[in-house]
Parts: sequence; structure tokens; C-alpha cells
Amino acid sequence: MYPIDPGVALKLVYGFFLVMGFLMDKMIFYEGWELDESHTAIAHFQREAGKVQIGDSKDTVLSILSPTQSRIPDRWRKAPDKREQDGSFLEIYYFRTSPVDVESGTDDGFTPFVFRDGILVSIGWRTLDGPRTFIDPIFIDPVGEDAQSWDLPTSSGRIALSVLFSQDDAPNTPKSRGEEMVKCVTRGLTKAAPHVRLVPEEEFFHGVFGLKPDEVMLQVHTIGALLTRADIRQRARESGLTHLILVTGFSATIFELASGRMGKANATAEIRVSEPKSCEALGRNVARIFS
Amino acid sequence: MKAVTLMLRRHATCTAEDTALIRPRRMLALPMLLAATISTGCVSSVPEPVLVREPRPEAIPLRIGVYDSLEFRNYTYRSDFSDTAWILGKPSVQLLHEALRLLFLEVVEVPRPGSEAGLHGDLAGVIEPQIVSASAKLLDRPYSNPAAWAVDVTYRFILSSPNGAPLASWQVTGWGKEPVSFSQLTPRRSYGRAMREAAWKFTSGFHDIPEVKRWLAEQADRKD
Repeated sequence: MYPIDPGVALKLVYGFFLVMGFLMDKMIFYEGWELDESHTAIAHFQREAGKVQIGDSKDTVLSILSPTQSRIPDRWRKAPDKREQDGSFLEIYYFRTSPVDVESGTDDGFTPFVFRDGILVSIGWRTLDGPRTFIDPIFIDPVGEDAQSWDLPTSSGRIALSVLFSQDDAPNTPKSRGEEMVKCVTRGLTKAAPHVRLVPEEEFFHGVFGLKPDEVMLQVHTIGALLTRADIRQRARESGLTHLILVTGFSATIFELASGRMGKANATAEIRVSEPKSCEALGRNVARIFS
Repeated sequence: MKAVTLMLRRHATCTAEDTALIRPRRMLALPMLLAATISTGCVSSVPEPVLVREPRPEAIPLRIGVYDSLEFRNYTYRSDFSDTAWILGKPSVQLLHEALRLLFLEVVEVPRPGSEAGLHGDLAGVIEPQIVSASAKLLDRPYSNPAAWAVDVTYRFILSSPNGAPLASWQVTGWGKEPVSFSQLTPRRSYGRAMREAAWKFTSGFHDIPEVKRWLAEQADRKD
């Protein structure tokens, strides 16, 4: 009775929506499409990079590696640097090798290939004193000097602190990563400094400021300014809180609430280590200060 | 039939169908299309933004008037993405009134400065907030990992004398970026964050606007 078989009609309708959905996907997420291309390009680069050796000519290296970057949009690439040094001609070509924040174009998303007089002489940042810009700063020293020189009270029950991550202070760090870093520091303290009393976030904000977490702009410089106020220090004393640890990316800033002094603990001595290792390293380094 | 009913339900409160719009791409291309059709014309509210109270700004011992135009009160941002209208005016009114109360001794709502309706004689001036622009953008990996809604809201503030003479005008922009999760599929929270940041910039930067500095100095001289 039907002019067309209902089963076929259903399939046609389904197919229509599928095609339209795909097209919309591409239209709406054109940028996401570009990002996928970049992911593919980075994977392609990783496969090809092994074919390149120190001592290869620039032409050879570029003929192998440049095609891997061809699908990356121009705005996500980094122009080569060229200069004379000690009578030689130095050229540095940057290849996108990491999917860190592509829009900000920070150095840590690239690997530099350095050519001296047309010959590949080094790969990576070490010979260039490290990347100059990071999406999240990762510090080289295991523990900052200021933090080590602190004369912290270590007797049982004397230290009460909160470990916090603030998006106000690190807007580019995903909240999930920040929370993971907080867990690592908390774990490190529980293991290595069991005498430290860990105070929950809400209790900290209520105790020190009499406010809810979002009502305080929690940034390194604002905390520094707040701790110069006698009323804030008085509240901290009365609530029994002694320290605040503010976690940012792979580093932590430690504030002594009574004095307003601050120090820094960092994640790791290695620039390129996996995220979980950096997280655990930060936890250990912070705990070392309090143990 | 149900779908037709839903399509006709314009300007209704957004429902779960709308939230499906921003699910991660590819796997939900078809539901996205259907949801876009269903949720066209829907109106959504954003959570009440929180005012940053610490570090508190230097309090100004003056009475200030605040004028909220109808346009400001009723401001909505219509997202191109889903044709959803986000109510930004109403929460902004409340937030910025609170912000002014943090800055000034007393805040009173007034009619348009310079209009025929009389103003309180002892007002130091009138501030008119406006929303200049708003936008929302879905950022996907690796531009943002996890995927997040990046939102910005820009306010303009116009400071006038009680008789309507303009004294200063400046803008502040707040940004908010909240990750997309299955419990939080829309940019609602990002709007809240953006407005919070803009209000913080307003209160913390108020004393730094050169024209405002001049006006405050004049007010201080007048008192002396």
C-alpha cells in the first residue's frame, strides 16, 4: 500500500540525518577538524623523526620532516630563527611535536632542530637553554632555595595547612589537572609528614577570610597582599591555620600565614617527564619541606 | 508529534535536549542535529555570579547612584551555536549592585541622570553599567583538554555627575573557561565565572581609572 517500503524509508531518513550531522559537525567544529589534523601531523612527525641523524644536511632533514607538518595550520607553526654565531650560520627550525595549547604558541609545543652551516648539530631545547615560554611553567630546581631555608615548626600537631588549586591563579591549567596535583601533594604530606593537619578548602576560607571559596581572588600576588593585613593574620592565628599551599601547574607556592613569608616548591628536575611522575615529585618535594 | 511539539515550544526553559548540543563531536553528530532543531529559540538562565570580596577594594565614603537601563536589565546573549538566548542582564544587575556596595558607602537606584525626574541632592555621581558584548566558544582538544566552554562578557561603565554630565567611561572584560562534562554540558558556569572576573576587575581597578581618580579627588576637596 505504501509507495515506498517503510524499512527503506527509515534507512533513507536515518542516512539523511547522518550525512547532515556529519556536515554540521565539520561546519561547527571546523577548528576541531584542524586540531585533529594537527594531532595526525604530530603522530606522523614522531614516526619520521627516527630517520633523522645528527650530521645530516639541512635539505635531507627538511625533506623528511617538513611534509609531516604540512597539514598543521600556519598560525600553529613557528617560524625558523636564523643568525650568525661565532662565524657560523645558525638556523633553528621548529617542529610542532606536542599538542599543548596551540593558540598560545608557547615554545614547549615545539622541538627545535639546530643547523650550523647547513648541518644538523642538535635536536631539542637543552642546547638552547630550554624553551622560553611554557603553557605551564615547570621549574628546574627540585626545591626552591627559599623553601629550603625556612625554619618550619615540626613538632607534632603544630602545623595545619590547606592544599589548594586556584583557577584564578592558573587559568590555563585544567581544573582536573589542578585537582590531581592537590591530591599528589596531600598524599605526599600524609606519607612523609603525618604530623601535619590537613584542613579542607571550605574550612580554610571560612577560618581565614570568613567567606566562601569563590568570594576570594586566590592568586599568588593577592594572597601576598592579604597576608599583610593584620585582621587576616589574626583570623588565621585564631583558626589554628599555619600555612597555605597553592598549587599551580607543576609547582606549589607555600605561604606562612602568620608572617606572610612565601616559598616555592617545584615538581621535577627533568623538563620532559610524564605528568603522573611530575605530580608525585611535587608531592614529595612539598612533603620534604614539612617533614 | 512529540518532536513537532518540542520544535514549536519557543522561548521555553532549556531542557536536556539542548544540553546535547555541546557533547563531544563525531559520536553525537546526529543527536546534535536533532537537538539543534528542537532547542531553537530556547532561553536559558545562568547561575548567580559570585562577587569577589577579598582582597576588598578601598572603600569610598560617598553616596553613589546607579542607573540600570531597560536594555541592560533585559540583556540576553543569543548564541549562534544553538540559537539559545542566555539571560545575562538580570544576574549582572545584582552582581554589579553588590560590587558598588563594596566600593561605596551607599548605593541608590536612580532614574537616568539628567532626566527630568529629580535625583537625590547629595549623590556624588551616577554609574550606568552596560553590557557591550558577550560570546561563547566551545574549545576542543588539544586547544583545550578537556573540552571547555570559553566565555567572555564585556561591561561598559559610564560615570556621570548627578545632572547628567559624563565624567568617565571605561570597559572591563571577564573570561570564564569551564570544562565540559556530562553533568555540565552547557556554558552556564563559564558565564558565571566570566561575570565574576569582570566584577572583580571593576572593583579592583576602579581607583586606577584616571578620570575616576580626578573625580574622587574633586569629591574629597569638596568635603574639605
